[in-house]
Amino acid sequence: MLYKFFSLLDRIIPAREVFAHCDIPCGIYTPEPAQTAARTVAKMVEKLQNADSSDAHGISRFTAVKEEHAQICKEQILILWTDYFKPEHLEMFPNLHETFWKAAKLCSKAKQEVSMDTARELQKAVDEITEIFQKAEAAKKK
Amino acid sequence: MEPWAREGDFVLAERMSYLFSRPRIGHLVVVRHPQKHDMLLLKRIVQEYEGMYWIEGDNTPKSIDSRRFGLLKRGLVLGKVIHKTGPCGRSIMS
Repeated sequence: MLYKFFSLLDRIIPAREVFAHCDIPCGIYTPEPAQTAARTVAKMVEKLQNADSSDAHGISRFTAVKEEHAQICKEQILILWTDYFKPEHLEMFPNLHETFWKAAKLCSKAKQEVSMDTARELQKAVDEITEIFQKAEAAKKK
Repeated sequence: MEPWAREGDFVLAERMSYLFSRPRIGHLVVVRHPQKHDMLLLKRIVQEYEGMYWIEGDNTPKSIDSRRFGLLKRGLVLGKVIHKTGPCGRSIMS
């Protein structure tokens, strides 16, 4: 009954369509989430290094956020690597696999350690990926 | 969002609740895709983190959600789903 009412209403005033899932990839790729996640990891390392050793709650929160964002960074890197980049990009960027593999490994290292050097290395690796991505996007427009 | 909602179902969402209270974990919500603003998504709030929202679809293997685009700003959560109806009387109040 209600379904019929909504169907009728939809004919008069069409309802906005909402998507519950995407069966087809939406084709939107950006390195920004990985960059933000890598920055967050560095920020959490900084907070952990400056934390009061008696502040167990603060330390556990900063650690949890560092873990979470290192994982987000890894997932975002893997999405770009496996979904965005195609075999033809290897001609343009011969070090593509090496760059992504290194960045993904650094995400794991950032989880294991509380090291600003590792956090900075991760940010640098994500910046390299961003540069490659931007070059690939620019080549697409030519 | 299967089995909760299927293709072709009508979903009723309202904006009023979120004028007076914030979205909470477990709420079914209509959100704006953060990278494709004309696209609306039906998802569930799984986690809230300092005013940002982590949303996921119930049908996780097929869902494009926060696992793909990260936390959502409060402004992208448009409304709370309050009712769903499908053919054959499959009506559910949220």
